[in-house]
Amino acid sequence: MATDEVWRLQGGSDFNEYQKSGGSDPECLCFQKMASQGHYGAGGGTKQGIYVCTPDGEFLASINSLSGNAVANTLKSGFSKWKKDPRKPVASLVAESTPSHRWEWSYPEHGLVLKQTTRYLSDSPQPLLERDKRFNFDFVWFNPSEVMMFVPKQPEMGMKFDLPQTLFDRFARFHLIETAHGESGIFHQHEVSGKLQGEVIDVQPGSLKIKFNGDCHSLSQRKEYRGLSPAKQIKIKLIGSLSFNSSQKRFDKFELVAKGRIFNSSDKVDSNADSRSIGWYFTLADPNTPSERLFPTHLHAYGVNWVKQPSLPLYDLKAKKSNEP
Amino acid sequence: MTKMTLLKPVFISLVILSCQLAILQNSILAQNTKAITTSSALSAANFDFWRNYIRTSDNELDWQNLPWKLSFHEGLKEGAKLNKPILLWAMNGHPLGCT
Repeated sequence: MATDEVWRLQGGSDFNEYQKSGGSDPECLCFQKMASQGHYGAGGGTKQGIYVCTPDGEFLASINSLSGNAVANTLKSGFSKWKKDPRKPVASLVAESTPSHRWEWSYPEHGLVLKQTTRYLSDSPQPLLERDKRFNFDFVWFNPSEVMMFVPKQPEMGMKFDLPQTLFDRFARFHLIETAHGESGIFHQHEVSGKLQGEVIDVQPGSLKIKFNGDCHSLSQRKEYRGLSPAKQIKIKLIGSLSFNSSQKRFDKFELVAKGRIFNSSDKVDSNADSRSIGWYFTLADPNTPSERLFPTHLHAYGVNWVKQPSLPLYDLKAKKSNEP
Repeated sequence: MTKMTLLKPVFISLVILSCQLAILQNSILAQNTKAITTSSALSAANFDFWRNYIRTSDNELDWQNLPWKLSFHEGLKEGAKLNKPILLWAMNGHPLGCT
């Protein structure tokens, strides 16, 4: 059983364009050949779904459905084909190859990795009793240099300070977005305003504690970002705290809660405007859990030099128009 | 015996008082929780409530207990090693991350 992000596998929006542009990652080509026989067929558009294939990449069955029965029937169908024509154990050429690029290769060892949970907040008068079931995850990455920006160089008890814009932007542009129900576009730098302020609440030899709070106002009039629209307007309040081991330059604790109101308008709004509530929770990811070393979904847009970009930037490949030969 | 006789009512009174305090405390907690609505501003006082509301519960994550490989490539490698077919779940955004 395997999970993966389909955009890289399908080589951008259209795998014909990927192949024409020289895309040659064996894993991606294997997926593209296999998925072209699946539920969405060949050509452009998403190939997301559930697939059953042989270890050498031959298509057996596929579906993209929320129906458990439909998925189960697809799995049975794929397995039935496999049983009728079992393969002799052979080494898979693709399995022995090396992917040309993976975002996880930029994982910031000795940096800060946060696990993010995003959930809609029920508008019920008793939100605890009617908890909204829609949630999503993501991960936030900071490299070791950025980690040191969270703490003042010479901390003193009671010291108040503004966290650098780089840190605020990382949260505001790429993570405080409407992903509770699925994907969302991100914000440009000029579309977010606000700040995060810290206060030193404990200083010990080798460690310090900081609490922080802040606010963020995101406003976008764009229609879409790479096919994804960001929310038109979000007003957010943030509160959190951290414990920093200054001897080892790592966090022992990090918690941040953000609570926001999403407005369906980029105009000036009051509290009665058409809106819904959303919450985000950030805490330390476990570096020893492989699934918590997955890359942030918008890592490609972080705009930092420590993230290794692929040689073929998949977002710059344009899908072939239907009237093109 | 006399000492026991004297202590018994004191003990019973203490038990009753403890129960009353527990009921009072639960009542205050219930009132505090009921007082929180989505329109309540985030504050240090309700931080724990919203953190617990947002983060996932164990029964929401049963699907993560399956031994997923984290890439198609890893799946192909294991399939070749075990000579078994591969179930691949591929989504816009990684299914175990933001999808």
